Amino acid sequence: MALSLKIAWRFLSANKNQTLLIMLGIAVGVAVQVFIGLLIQGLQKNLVQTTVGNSAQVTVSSTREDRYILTPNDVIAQIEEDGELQGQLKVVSGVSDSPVFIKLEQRDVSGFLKGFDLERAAQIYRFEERLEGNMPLEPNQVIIGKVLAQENNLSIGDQLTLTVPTLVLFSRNVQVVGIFDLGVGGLNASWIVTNLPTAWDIIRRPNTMSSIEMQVNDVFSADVVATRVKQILGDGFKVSDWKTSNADLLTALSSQSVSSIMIQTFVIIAVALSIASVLIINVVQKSRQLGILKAMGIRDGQARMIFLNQGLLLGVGGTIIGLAMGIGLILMFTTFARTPEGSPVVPVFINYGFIALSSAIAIGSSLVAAIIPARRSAKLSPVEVIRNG
Amino acid sequence: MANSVLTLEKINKVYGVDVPNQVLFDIDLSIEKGSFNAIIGQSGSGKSTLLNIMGILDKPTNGTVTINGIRTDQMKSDQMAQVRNRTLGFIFQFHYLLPEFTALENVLMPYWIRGEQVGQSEKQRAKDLLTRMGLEKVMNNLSTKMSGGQQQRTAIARALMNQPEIILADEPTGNLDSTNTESVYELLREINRDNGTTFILVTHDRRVAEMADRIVEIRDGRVFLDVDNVAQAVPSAT
Repeated sequence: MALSLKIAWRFLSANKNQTLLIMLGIAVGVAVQVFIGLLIQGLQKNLVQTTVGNSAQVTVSSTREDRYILTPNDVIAQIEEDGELQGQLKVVSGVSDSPVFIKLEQRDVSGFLKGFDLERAAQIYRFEERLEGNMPLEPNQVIIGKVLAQENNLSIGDQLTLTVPTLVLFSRNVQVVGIFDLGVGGLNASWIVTNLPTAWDIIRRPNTMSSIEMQVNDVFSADVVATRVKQILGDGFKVSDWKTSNADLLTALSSQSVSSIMIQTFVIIAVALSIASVLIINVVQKSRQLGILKAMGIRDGQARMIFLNQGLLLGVGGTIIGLAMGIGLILMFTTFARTPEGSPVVPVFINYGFIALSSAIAIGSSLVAAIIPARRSAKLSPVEVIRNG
Repeated sequence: MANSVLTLEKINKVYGVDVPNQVLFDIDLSIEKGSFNAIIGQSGSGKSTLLNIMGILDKPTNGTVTINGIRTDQMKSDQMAQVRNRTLGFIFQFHYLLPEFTALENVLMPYWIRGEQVGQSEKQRAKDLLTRMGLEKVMNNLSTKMSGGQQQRTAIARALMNQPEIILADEPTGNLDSTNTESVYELLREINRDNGTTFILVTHDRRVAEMADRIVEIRDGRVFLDVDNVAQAVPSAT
């Protein structure tokens, strides 16, 4: 072991209470940092997931007057085969939709017919997980939203008559084979989901799409993907992304991040200041030992290293305790803070990168905090100590 | 002097800036290799300051200190540290052990500072030195768990560890009883004879001074008397 590390270790272990106190100080700082950091990250991920996790993140529509995309398969192929977008897209799915009237016995209600390529759309909307009944795989089968079903006393097996407003003379009977709950009231109250051939048949626009929906791997790069898609497709198409349409949410998220970073920064500064002040006192406490060591020929650089090593040891020790405390707190929080359904209020993701970064910052700050005391120790003249006894 | 290991030329030392207090005046001294020297003087005469300047722990206000032909004022701080570690050994009035380390570790410390690997032979030498000091039973004690006499003898063993050419001692037996004092001096003398180590001792003790080859008396910051090997000529030292 290097001499300065050995001396640093002895200095710290000779004064166990003081060492433990300062380590606890660092540990509390690290724990707060890890806890708040992971909690905010969990909150944000959860919020983003709830908002856009189960909906289209980038949507392509046509600028034609009748708003139909006439060659949807070409458009999808163009997007999927683009080199720059490789690895960025989770799923690309065409949808053919139209407002419809649902003729009931007493009255008509309006709904929104969505014809999906069900295999692809399932990756976006996860119908299977949110469905009572079956998927509408056969012609003239539909599934409807929970609210729509409740408000109109509809259940699985019922027949509906759908009419497109522009084609009032034409209507089609369909059968409800399932009831879904997408977790969003508006969709649950209006959507009638079916397969593409059925939708084309009802809307009378075979082989066209109203829009092409995409999910991306990194939700926060949706705007970049949208820009690229617009570039590929050129004029005649409108590309929108969730970030642009949810600017307020993004502002909220980023101000939350900023306040979280602010808290973490001040905690770290407080920790660094406390380490620095303890180590400065330590230089005074150990000035006699430093004087003796210098009389024995320890170099100024080695004397400096003693205090840098003390900072390092305190930082590493405090960080290890702090990580255990912080992760423990987070686990307690997710275990005990639960919604009535039994799922955690905030599902927390243990982000190893963030934990490693927090640890590095804490240890780095401990080292920086040790610089002033280290400099003082190097400047200390041995004769001061020898002469003053 | 051709054979000198340590030379002081026109050493002046002034403490304080606002109220200057001159402690040493134009001291010229040359210490011969392998000699045993005693510096005596009343308290406040400047003898400890002189010793600290010789050991490059303190800097003279002006004048030069030359150790083994190299002027210390031209040395960089690391070079001075190396001279303190390898050429010089210190024994202080207050034993100054490191309380966080055991007696054996304190003795090994100068060797550790030297930056070389401590092997079995060095460890054995440290143990031998402690045994010679009669400390074989307490060598693994923390220095705070030893008596004053034991601590002082540990400090002497420590000064000898790196086999320095020059040992500077400031009242090394100040805290010891007369039996211990005598045995310590016999030991120092023995090392001086066997290894040719140069000793410079600051002392109040007349009997100790009488054992030296040369006696230098400092009075009011000046060399008042400088005599060779004449125990009977020792003037009344306090």
